[in-house]
Amino acid sequence: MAYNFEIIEDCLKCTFREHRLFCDLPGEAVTKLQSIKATSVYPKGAMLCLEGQAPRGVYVLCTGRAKLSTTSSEGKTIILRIAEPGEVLGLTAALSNTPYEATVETLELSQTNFIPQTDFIRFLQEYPDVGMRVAQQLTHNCKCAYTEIRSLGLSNSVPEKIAKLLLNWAEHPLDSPNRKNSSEIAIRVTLTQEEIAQFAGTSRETVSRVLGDFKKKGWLRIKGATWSILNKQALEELVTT
Amino acid sequence: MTSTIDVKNELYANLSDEVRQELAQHEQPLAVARGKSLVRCGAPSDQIIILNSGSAEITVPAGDKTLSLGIAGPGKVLALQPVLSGEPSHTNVTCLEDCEVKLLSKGAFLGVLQRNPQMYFAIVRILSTDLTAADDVIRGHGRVSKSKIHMAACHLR
Repeated sequence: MAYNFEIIEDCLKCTFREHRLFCDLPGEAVTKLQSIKATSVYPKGAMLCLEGQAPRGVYVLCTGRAKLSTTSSEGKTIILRIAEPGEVLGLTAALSNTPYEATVETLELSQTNFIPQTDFIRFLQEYPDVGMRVAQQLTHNCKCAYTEIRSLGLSNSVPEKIAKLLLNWAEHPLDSPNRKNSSEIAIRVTLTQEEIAQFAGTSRETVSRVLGDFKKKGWLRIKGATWSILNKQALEELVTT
Repeated sequence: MTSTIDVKNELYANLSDEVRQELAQHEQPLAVARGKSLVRCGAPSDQIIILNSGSAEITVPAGDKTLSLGIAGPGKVLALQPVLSGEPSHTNVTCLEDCEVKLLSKGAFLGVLQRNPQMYFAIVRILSTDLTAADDVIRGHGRVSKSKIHMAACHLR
C-alpha cells in the first residue's frame, strides 16, 4: 500500500459504502456504478474541474476532501464549501449541461470515481434510488448555501466570522490523546490562512491578525495542522448572531 | 392521448403524462393576495406550491436584513426542499403581486413519488437550479440575484 493510502477499486467491497450518502445504494445500482466509473487518486492541490469549463461528468469523492471555490463579481476568490467524502461534485453542471460553477481542488490526497455526464444522466434515470440520493445531497447543499447566505448578511466582523468557522469545525473534533486539558477541542485544519481568508471574505493579513489575537487571549493553540480550541465559550460569546 | 394538464411548470414539464395526471388529481387551486406569505422560514412545509401566475420573492432572513435569492415567476415550484427533507424551510417566499397557485399536499406528493420514483430525475433538476441561484448570491456577496430563479419557464423543455 503505497504512501499508506488504500485505493478502493471495487465499490461493492468498499467498507465506507453504508456511511456515504450517495454510495449507500442497492447492490444492482452499485454494480452498474462499478461499470461506468473510473477511479483516480489525486494529490493535494489537484484541480478536478475548473469554473467555467464545459461539464464532462461528475466526481464522487471517495476519500479525502476538496474545496469548492468561485470568483465573486469583484474578482475575489470565495470558497463556497469544503466537500467531504461521499459527496458528488459537478452535479449542477452535469444535470443542467451548463459550465462548472465552481473550481474543485483537492485539499489532501484523495480518491475519486469519475462518471461521464451521459452515463451519469442515464444512471440517474434508470435507478430511482440514485435520484433520491442526489436529491438528498442537493437539499443538504442548498441548506449549507442558505446558512452561508445568512452568515453573509449577519456577520459584521472578521473575528466573528472566524470564530463561527472554528465553532463549525469543532463539531468534528479530533480524538487527541495528547491534549493537555479535557475541555480542549482539537481540530484538524488543512486550509491555509489564505484559504481561510477566502472562506471568510477577507484578507490573509486580517486572518493572521485575528488568529494571533485569539492565541494571545488563550482561546486557541495552533500546532501545524492541529488546532486546539481552548476557550469555546469565548468564541461562542463572540458570535452574536 | 393529448394531455389537458398544464405542463408549464418546472416539475410537470419533466414528467410523463401518467405521473402528471396522477399529481393533478391532488391539486388544490388557491388565490393568494399580494404581500401574503407562501413559505415561511423556520416553519415546516406540508405542501408543494406551484406558482401559476404572478410573482413572488424568495428571501433569506438575516437578523434585521433580508437577502434576496431572486424573483419566482409562473412555473416555479416552491417548498420542495422542506417537503423532501422534513426540515423547516430556510427561506421566505412572499407574493409581490396577486398570485394564483396550485397546492399539492405533502402526503399526496410523497405518495405519488413513492409510486413513481422516476420523478426524482425531475426533482433533482429543480433542486440543482435552486442551488445555483443560492451560489450566485454567495458569489455576489448578498446582492440581488434575479438570474436563475426568475421566470421558471426559462428552465422548461
